[in-house]
Amino acid sequence: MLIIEEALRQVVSSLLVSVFYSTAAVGLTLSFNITKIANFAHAEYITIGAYVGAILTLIGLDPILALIAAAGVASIVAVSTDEVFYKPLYKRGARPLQLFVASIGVGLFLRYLMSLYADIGDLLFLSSRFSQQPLFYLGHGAVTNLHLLSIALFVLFIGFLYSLISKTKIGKGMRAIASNPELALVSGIPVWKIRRIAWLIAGFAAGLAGVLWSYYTSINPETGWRMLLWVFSASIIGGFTSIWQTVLGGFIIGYSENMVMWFLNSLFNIDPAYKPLIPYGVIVITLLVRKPPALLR
Amino acid sequence: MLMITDPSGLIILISSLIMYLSIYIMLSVSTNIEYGFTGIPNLGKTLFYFMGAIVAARIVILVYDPIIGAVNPFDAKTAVMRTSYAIQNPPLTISIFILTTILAIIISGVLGYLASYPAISLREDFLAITLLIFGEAMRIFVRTYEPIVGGVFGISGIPGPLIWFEPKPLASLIYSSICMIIAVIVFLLLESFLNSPLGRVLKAVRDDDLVASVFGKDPIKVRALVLTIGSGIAGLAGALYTFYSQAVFPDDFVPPFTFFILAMVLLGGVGNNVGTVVGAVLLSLFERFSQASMLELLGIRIGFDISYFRYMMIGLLIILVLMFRSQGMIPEKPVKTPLYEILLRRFNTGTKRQEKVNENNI
Repeated sequence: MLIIEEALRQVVSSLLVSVFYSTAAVGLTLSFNITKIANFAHAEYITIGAYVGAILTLIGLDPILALIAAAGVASIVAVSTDEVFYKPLYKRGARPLQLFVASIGVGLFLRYLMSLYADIGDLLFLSSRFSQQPLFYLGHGAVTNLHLLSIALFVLFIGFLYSLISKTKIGKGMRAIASNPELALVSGIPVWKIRRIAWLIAGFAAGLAGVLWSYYTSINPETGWRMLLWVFSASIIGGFTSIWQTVLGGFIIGYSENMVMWFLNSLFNIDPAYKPLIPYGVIVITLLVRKPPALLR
Repeated sequence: MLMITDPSGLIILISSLIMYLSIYIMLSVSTNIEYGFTGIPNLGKTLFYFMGAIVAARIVILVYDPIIGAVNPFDAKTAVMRTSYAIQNPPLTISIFILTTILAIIISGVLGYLASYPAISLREDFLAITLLIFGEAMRIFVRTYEPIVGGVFGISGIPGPLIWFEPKPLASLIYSSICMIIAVIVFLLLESFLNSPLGRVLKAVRDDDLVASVFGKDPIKVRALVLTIGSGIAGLAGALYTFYSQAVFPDDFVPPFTFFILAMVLLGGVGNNVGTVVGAVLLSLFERFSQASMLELLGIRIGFDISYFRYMMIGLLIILVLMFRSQGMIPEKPVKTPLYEILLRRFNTGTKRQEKVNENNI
């Protein structure tokens, strides 16, 4: 059965991108809940993670070590952008809209700083030295060692985040800040410390997604920016509140863009270049039908 | 040291400066009535700007191609045929220009109204993201679906209204001056609109839509109206720019362009059109003089892509302005009309009331 084998190929490859989108989107949802910033600079943490990871593997570091180091760098960048830009603005009473515009500025600055660096260092198109080896085949779809690595890390990360949020005191503080920041501050929750932890995790998630992306395919300074709207779609489907729904959103986006496109392409011969329109359509439908309360006025 | 010696080169340079400035004034002022006055962060500006360009390209194809008998409207041969036909028919080019600008305003305005429908009830930042997504969806659709404006490679050979005029440098100077006059008219119309009672409603909706709705103003209708007006102006700018560049490339209409326009508004003055124009002047000069071709003209050579540096500086500028002067260079001023009207009315009815008004106003 050729069709089933082809479908399995799509299922297997969609799994990987879905994991990437979900990982990054969970970070975005977390930082949004704590700070109420719809952070456009999240894209740049992804790109930074991807670049650092790819460069570290190219100078001969073990992929696993490179991955942790790169995600760490991305989380440090995330914390420092907050300390330097968002926190001072927030303390001066900036509205969410101004913080959002500031994040666009931060995103532009970081993205084109990296583009300049990549242009001067001749790194505009970069591939990491991670070799994907097929472990076994499902139909035409090759399940590789990258699948194993990504899914293992993803499960570990989500498990860690879930237990952090639901089991620990820090998680309790996070939930308190998410529902009412002023009240949390008044009741003695270390708001700024928890905010820092949230940014660390958000940056780590984005960096992780970025490194895995760089192991998956070649990268350029716009990798994160291209991914950003997908990551936002995943978070929007999840309503920007729940981690599980965000994960689900990532999988919906990852699978819908690949499976629906493959379906349309093989049945009606539609150009795969229309692929980005599918997640956009999903967002519009979500906004019209589901009306997530966190996103309304 | 300037390497421009012949006057025609200088005229072309000046006319391109005027042209870009007028486009940026129209776009930034229309962004300001949305972002500054009403609190709608329209990051889908390129959608409506692009729509204006598409309208211009489609009307030119619709009118010229049956006459010249072109088979493929997007190839280079058709572009040359269109241009040579347009040179022989001055009245046709001018009437197409007028028709197109009017249609571009109407179609982009309607598109703005339609785009406002699913997005208007969202939180401000998600409204921005949704509009940005609409813009990107449009760009991706148009660059993939070739019958609209030729896909990735775009369309060229869109004759401007003064293509028959000789000498060429003077024609482009006249055309860019016309655009500047249109930009000034747009600016003046908007100023009178914003100082009218309806203009005050915009600020009321921005500051507190609950209070505005208590006074019987429907915030959703106001937002839809403002998006319609802003989009109409963006469409006008798109059509005017298309007749200047005589080509449309879908990949010119990317989100960083919108951010660039937004930076003009933030730098100049949020909620103040005069300030926005100042911001547009400063940033369009920065943009024009940081082009690689312009730097080469000045005798500077650099080893990297200057556009990266430009966008990096725009990003830094947005952050710095928000951190250190969030009201922009020229802060928002109170609306003029009510004070004038009240003073005039009271002045006519008696001096006793006049004193009272003066006391209140001090």
